[in-house]
Amino acid sequence: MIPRYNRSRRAQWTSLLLPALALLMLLAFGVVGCSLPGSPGASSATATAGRAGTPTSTSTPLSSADQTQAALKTPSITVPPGGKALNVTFNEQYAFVTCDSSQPAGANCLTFNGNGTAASLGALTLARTAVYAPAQPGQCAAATTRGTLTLANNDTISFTGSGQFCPGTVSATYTYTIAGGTGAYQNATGSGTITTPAPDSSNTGTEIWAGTVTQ
Amino acid sequence: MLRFLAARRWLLAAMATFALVALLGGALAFAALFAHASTKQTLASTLYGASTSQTQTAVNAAQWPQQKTDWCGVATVAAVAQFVGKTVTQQNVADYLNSSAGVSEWGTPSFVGYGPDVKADIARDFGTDPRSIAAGLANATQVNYHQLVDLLNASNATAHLAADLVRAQQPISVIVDHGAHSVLVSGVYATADPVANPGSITAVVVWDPGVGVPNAGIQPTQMAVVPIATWLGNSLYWGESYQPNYFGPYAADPDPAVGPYTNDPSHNKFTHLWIGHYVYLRPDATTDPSAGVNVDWPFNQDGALIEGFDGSIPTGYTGPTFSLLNKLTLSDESTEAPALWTEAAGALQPPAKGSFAPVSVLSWVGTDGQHHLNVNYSNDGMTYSSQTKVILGETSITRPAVTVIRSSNNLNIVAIAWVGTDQAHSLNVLYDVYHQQFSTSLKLTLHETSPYAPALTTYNGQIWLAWAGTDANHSMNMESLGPEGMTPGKKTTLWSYPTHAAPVIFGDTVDNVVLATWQNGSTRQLMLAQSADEGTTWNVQPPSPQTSGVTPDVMVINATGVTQRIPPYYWSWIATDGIDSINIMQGTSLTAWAKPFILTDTSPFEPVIGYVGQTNRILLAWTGTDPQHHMNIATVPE
Repeated sequence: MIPRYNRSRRAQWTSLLLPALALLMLLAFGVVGCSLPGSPGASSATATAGRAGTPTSTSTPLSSADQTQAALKTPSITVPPGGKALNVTFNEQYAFVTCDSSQPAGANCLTFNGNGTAASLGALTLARTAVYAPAQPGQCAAATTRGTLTLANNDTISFTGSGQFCPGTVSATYTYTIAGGTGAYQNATGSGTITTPAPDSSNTGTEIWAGTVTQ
Repeated sequence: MLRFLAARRWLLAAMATFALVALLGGALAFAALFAHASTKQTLASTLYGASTSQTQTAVNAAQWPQQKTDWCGVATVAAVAQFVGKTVTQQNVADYLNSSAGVSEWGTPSFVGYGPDVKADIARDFGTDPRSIAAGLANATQVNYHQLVDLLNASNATAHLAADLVRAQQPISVIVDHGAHSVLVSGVYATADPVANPGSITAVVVWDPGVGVPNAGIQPTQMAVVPIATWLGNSLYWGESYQPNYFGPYAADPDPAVGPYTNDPSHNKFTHLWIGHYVYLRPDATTDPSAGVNVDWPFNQDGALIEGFDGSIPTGYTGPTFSLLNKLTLSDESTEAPALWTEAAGALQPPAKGSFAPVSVLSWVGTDGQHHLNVNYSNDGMTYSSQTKVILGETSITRPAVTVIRSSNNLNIVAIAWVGTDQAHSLNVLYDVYHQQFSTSLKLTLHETSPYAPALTTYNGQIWLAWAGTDANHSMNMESLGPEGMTPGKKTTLWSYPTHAAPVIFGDTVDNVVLATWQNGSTRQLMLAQSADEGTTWNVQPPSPQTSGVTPDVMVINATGVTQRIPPYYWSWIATDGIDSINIMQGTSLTAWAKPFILTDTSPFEPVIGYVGQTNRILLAWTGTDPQHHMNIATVPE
């Protein structure tokens, strides 16, 4: 049982506390509910009178960082037993070179030289050539590539690849196959993809490798 | 007090509660203030433009994403068509762009490297160029579209884009990613009317047809509300203007290669229609001057048709027009204005002896620490080889002056004058910079001094020097120096005409007079005087209503040897408009001047004007307002 006095005091306390709590909640919900971007309660103002704009909920704008992260999704690679992931982005220089006589007229021949670091292999140096089949308007052209990756200890990994170059995106994609090398990678095997997105300039760019190598 | 409070515990509790409330409330209010500050761009924003849900429906109906790697523009066309109720597929659009009906009135460039991608292109674009997209939109929607080429900047282009979204109430195809990609923009968020107050735009609603296509998309989701700072700052959107995007020797997004907007530096066609600008495709309003114009022709941000670089416009068009300069920004930089001499209609052509027959000569002070003098010449007025550039051992505090005189043995001799960096700032003349007549150049240092740049001209077989004196009025002085610039002769001082800066003199072989122009020291009005007696007496024209922030330049075309089809008299100056716009005015006589032609280019120093007879073009040179102060040379539209 609660003494009357106490009830009276409690009633007075409560009579003061409840409005205070109500004020606190009002402040809290009032502020949070209309301001935080992306919160369910956030909504835009109505359209300005006389404008035909459609009032809608304001979406959370993308930050540059969000976009960058989203754009750099890493492909999922299954590494075989005894193998190593070969996931690396190379910064490279490229050049158009004269094709040899074995290539058809209109083909474009290029060289790529770059550097990158794979978590499983350390620093790598890339040297490869590529041949893009003669271009036809509006079409991707068949592309082949071959070259070597050189490790910091001068062991090398040899590879070939085939795929396509698409002028519309100024990008090439290949499926590569590892066929031996030197040193510890003399009998290396492996496979994966090479992607060269649109270049940074007339002679520099990047390429992204995603795959495996097994010694 | 404590006893009082202790005796009244309820009061104490209440006060504590209020204190807590106040503290929490204050903290929340404080947090709210920062929350508001950090998110204010979205808090009160309203969407203006096309319906997002209808755009989504249209994009779905157009079967986005883009169905081929080169179909980003195609996909935007199909989606816009679907938005306005036309059942058009991406394949339909591509088929049209590859049909003869889609070809521009100027044809299709030959296929070189990887472009053109479609027959509708006027550039050797690896995909669809802006003209193609405009043609595709016009065909797919049966409404006329035109390229809007904003020549100013991304903010200005965004303001016009927002206005067009509000007006058209449909998504608009926009070329982003420095020319490499096309997206749809369906609307903008703004805290106020984005048309009246473009600064209130907080975000742009961007639809990317490349999302889901390897190497094609620029954003993680098909629709993104892109903050205005990202839109204007990130090169994936409009953080960078249209660029050629070189892939080795090939440009993926070049300027046109056929028609009157052709960019061909090998033939001195340096003008860029798209490169360096911001481009989108807008549906015409019925009241637009563009409404009846063929889809091939572009318009600028002010709604003016951009004239072909040859001055061409569509037949019957009577609306406003705008001329782009055929401008080349040189690699050379200067801390002052350049000096320019031109052959002004071939008066020196051909030389009787030797092969040194420059069409134009530039001279300037370098941006090196000592401000060395530089000289270079051109055989076509526009191109200046590094191999012909001479960096002299002389240094100058101001821009030099330059002229060319025919020597007694019929050789073309380049002479320059400048104010030295000696303590007195003596005037100097150097004759035969390119060693045509003598094995070494001849140098004359006068006893005269000047705080401003001198002027040189050739008249009656002599070299004439003019300068602003060191008297309080900076009166103009003129003196003959003989045929080799080494023999000081008669000096005249125009005491009655104070100059605000350096004067300019020009040997006018049309009227057989020497012209002098300067800026009135008090009113800044352009002044012009002529002397038929080698400077002894001067006939001063009434002050021009035009005012200049710097010394003007004057030039008279001598039509000898060419078929002149433009007025002979020209004045150039920097307007007192607060932004230093370059102005040019042409006249049929020294007293009959047309309305000034105001360039969008600006300069902190005086522009200099000349004429190239072999191409019948007015030539203009100036130092740019870029941080490095590169020099620019341009042929001016007639």
